[in-house]
Amino acid sequence: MPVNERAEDKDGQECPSSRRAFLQQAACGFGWLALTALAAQAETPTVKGPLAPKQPHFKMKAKRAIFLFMEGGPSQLDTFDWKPELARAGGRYLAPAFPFKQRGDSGLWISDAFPQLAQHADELCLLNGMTTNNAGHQQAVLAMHTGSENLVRPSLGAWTVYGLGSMAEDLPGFVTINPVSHLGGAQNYGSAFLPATFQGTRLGTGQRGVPHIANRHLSEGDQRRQLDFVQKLNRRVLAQDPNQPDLEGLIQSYELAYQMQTSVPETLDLSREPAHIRELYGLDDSATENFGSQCLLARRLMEKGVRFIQLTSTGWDHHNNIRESLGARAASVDRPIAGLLSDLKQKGMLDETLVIWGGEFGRQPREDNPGGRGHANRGYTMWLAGGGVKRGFRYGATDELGEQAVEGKLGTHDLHATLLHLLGLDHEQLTFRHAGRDFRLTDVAGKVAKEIIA
Amino acid sequence: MRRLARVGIVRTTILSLVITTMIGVVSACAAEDASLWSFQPLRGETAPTIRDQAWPRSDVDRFILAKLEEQKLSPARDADRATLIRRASFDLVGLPPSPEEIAAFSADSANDDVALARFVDRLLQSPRFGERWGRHWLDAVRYADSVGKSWNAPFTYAWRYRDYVIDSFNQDKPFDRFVTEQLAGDLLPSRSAAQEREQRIATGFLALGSISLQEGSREQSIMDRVDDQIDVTTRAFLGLTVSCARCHDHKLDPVTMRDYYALAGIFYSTRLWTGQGTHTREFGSMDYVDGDLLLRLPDLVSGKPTELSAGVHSMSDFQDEWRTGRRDIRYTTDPNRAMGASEGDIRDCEIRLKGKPYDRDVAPSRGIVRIAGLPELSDIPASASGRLQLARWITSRENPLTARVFVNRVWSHLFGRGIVPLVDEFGSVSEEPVHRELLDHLAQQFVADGWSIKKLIRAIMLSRTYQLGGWALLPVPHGNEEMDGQECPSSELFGRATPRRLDWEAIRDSLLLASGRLTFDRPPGIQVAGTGGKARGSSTYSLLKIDAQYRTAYLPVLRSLMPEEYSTFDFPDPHQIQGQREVTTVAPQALFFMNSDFVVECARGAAERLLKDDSLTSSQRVRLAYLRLLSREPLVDEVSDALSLLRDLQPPASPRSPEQYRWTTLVQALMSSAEFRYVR
Repeated sequence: MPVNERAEDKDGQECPSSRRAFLQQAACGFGWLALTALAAQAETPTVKGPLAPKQPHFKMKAKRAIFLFMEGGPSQLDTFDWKPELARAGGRYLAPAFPFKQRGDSGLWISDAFPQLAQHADELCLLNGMTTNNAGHQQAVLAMHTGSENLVRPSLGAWTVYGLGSMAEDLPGFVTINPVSHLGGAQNYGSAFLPATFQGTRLGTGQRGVPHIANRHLSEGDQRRQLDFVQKLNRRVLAQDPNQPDLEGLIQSYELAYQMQTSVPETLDLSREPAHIRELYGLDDSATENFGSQCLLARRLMEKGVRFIQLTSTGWDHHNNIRESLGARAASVDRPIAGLLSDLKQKGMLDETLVIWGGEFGRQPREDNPGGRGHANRGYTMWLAGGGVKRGFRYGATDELGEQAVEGKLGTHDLHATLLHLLGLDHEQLTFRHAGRDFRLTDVAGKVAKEIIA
Repeated sequence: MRRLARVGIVRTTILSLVITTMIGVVSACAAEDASLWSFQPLRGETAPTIRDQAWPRSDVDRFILAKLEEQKLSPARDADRATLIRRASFDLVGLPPSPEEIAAFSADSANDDVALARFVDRLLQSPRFGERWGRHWLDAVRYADSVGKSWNAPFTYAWRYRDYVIDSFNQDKPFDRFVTEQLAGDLLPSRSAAQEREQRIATGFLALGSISLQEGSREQSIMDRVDDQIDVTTRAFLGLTVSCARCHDHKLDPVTMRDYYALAGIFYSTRLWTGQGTHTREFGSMDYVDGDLLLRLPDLVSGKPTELSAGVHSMSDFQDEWRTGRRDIRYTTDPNRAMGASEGDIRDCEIRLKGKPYDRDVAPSRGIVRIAGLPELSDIPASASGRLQLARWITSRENPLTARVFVNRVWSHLFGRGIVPLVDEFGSVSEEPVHRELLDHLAQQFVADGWSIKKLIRAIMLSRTYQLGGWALLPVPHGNEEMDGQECPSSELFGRATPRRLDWEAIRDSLLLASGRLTFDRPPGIQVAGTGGKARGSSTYSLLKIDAQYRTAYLPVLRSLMPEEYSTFDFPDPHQIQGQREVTTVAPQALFFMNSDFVVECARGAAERLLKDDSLTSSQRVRLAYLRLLSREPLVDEVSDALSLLRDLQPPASPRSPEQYRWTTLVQALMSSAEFRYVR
């Protein structure tokens, strides 16, 4: 099954490919009983490999998602949550470190920390009433990614790919670029009790890429012969004992790896992007190069059909000197994110892409160390753009000093329910039977914020 | 949404809330004195009555079968001998059985129990056992050879502690003794210089924390070290996360700030010798690597401490060498230096409001820890830090956590899942496990057997439960035709074996073993170099690369600087305490087997071994390859598949022989297979 026989189908809806054909042969009907219910619901005629695209529960507003994760808890009070009272309060309160202005036709208040992004104000949907249970980094990061602060649960990306499958032929359905290795590490893109094939695949930008991506030892024909031998051996084990989600994941991981040898270098190679695109994402500026590369890589992955992508910008835990420290972090992502939004728009992809921005929590109005702020979990800001959300819209609010959310509150489960909804999934129906009960991303809670849906 | 943590609500209410919400039951009831299951005394559980008297071989089996019978389930059938010997071998020594061992085991005319017992007893005596089980322990205690964080300088002597751990498992050192030595080995009497050295090296446990060497505030730095020691002590031994109480009363567990600072006083009175200096505002800069900041061990011959030997021992020495133009600079290994702890200035530690180092409140007396449900720590003499008393408290028979937590760790390594699923968490997030009686039974037995780890492992491995087969060997359930894979709780109840992916060490060691290049020697002395630097940009490096011939347990573990393969195969982040590894199955692992130089080199070595004996036919070589790599004979059509592959390959025109190319490719295929990567 040579790689170049695969059908090139950009939107990847229904496309029998060598890999998929293989998966049907290999995995069909074996361990995917849990998926049959979902498939039946969606009136899909046959059970397919687990990564085949699946019908959503209802019409999806966005067919893919990209989460721009700002690790550390960026301050909302100096960026997207304008508190004029805080500027006047004085005393133990720390005034916003950057001036705010009303932007675009919508007049959303955004500070000068994000001058480029501010030009896209009319695309943004600010969520000013975010809350999360715990103000510890690890707990909040895990909650943001998996819905649980302390139990091992599948991640948002894994649930999404479990629910929707992937549109990518030769890349994983869920990719996370430069994730943090602490704060829960792989749990944040793990599949926990979901089949292993739904977990996120880690990609690095630049030199780090994917290790061992190049086959330097065998001819392509011989590698395929070798792999066929391996897979026959693997399928024999699977046939003896069909109920092994791990083993099915392993079989697929080889086919995917085989394809990735070609697709990843192609996708990771940003050098062939034209100069104006490199400029748009800030690739030629050392301050923005890292996140710009992540953003551009993400766009290329999206074009290849990857369903869920996460990018990570670290270092937003600004206990000291917000003006300088947050200023520098914001400058490192501002142009890249603005570039990504422009690029998606010009390619007509923004409407079907759900862009999610935010950290694990936000920051307090009171001063912590000099010029800095402590963690705030009772009121902070995230924003969404693209796929099905209201544009130039602000939802939720904190009290006048920004201490806690007072209206339009969105807890972690509410956020997850809303994101799944935008992706066409009902968070109450998206379940997986494990250890004798049906699990959900949203546990026993979660309310969709209908107000933000366009 | 769960909104649990509001300090000031009656504690028991919170606890029961957590437990009930976690099992998804909304319940308003809160028993008045509901104390955590894990804090209750160990119960002397007797094995339950069961219907099928013929099945069990031990009490472990009676507990397992009773729960299965309650659910009208039967255990799977027993695994065959080939499966069993491979499983047991990896579990005990982290390596596959040799073809000779397999032959002897399958030919053993004794019944399965006796044959397995013989095999287990032999491997328990192997020095490889400590390398396997010691490494499990190193996960739980955040072992590393560099400090991580802001200035990632090497720990030049961490390896002494690592070797101590491995030796302790090999000696079957009683676990209570093992705990005590790690916390307070310097305070124990000794009969010889060798014993004193061993006990002092054990306290390296306390010195391995990841802290910022560039922390500007001295008090902050001290409190960070204290916190690390509290964290590792409470989590590794007790499965409790006490360190949240540094800034506020614990939100879920019955631990107050007072308890925390009472514990902190113990470590506040302890001096650590890490071989590293810190930069502080108060004291100016020191060498980040500094041979004068190491523990002095008594010389084996004279029994007395010695001066630091001549050579490179510090960052300044290193830099002096660098200036002479040398580049391959190595630290000199001094025979009488180690990382570890000693008694410091004995004093209580003031409560720090919100954890801020200079915001002091009253100082609770050292060791006055009053955690509801746990015994009280005994009084600490005015002249002592209290580490010894802490160790006695942790290992006292009245402390129900220590034995439970350790027994559960052992179980999780043998079954891929603990009786309590989160092995490092026995606090309030821990639900009472289904097999709590079994856990208590094993814990009691463990203590009664003198805390012998080998006896514990042996007892579990010789149970019929350990020897079960996988899913396909489940009997057809009666009257429950609708039961499918996802709903059958049998694996949750340990009613069948679950295939387990080999961890990174077992994968790498097995590849090296197959290649014929694995050595069982220990690398001599210090194997790290460099003087540190910012996290990933650190100049610290390991002298042993991934293709070194040593077992993986002996390769340096550098925080933030691990080779990519480690995280690809879920080696834990060594900043963290992580008693249980994640298991992922992702394409980058497949790429490692397909394309890495390391795998190809190992395959080449293994192919050379197969080709060396001219008298073998190709079929015989295939058979040997299967035995060496997959621990079983190939089926007839597997042999013909392998021969077809050999025939169909098209070796490139290169100086290497076509035969070698063909066999390397076949061997690499076997190494890549699920059977190689898993134990069943």
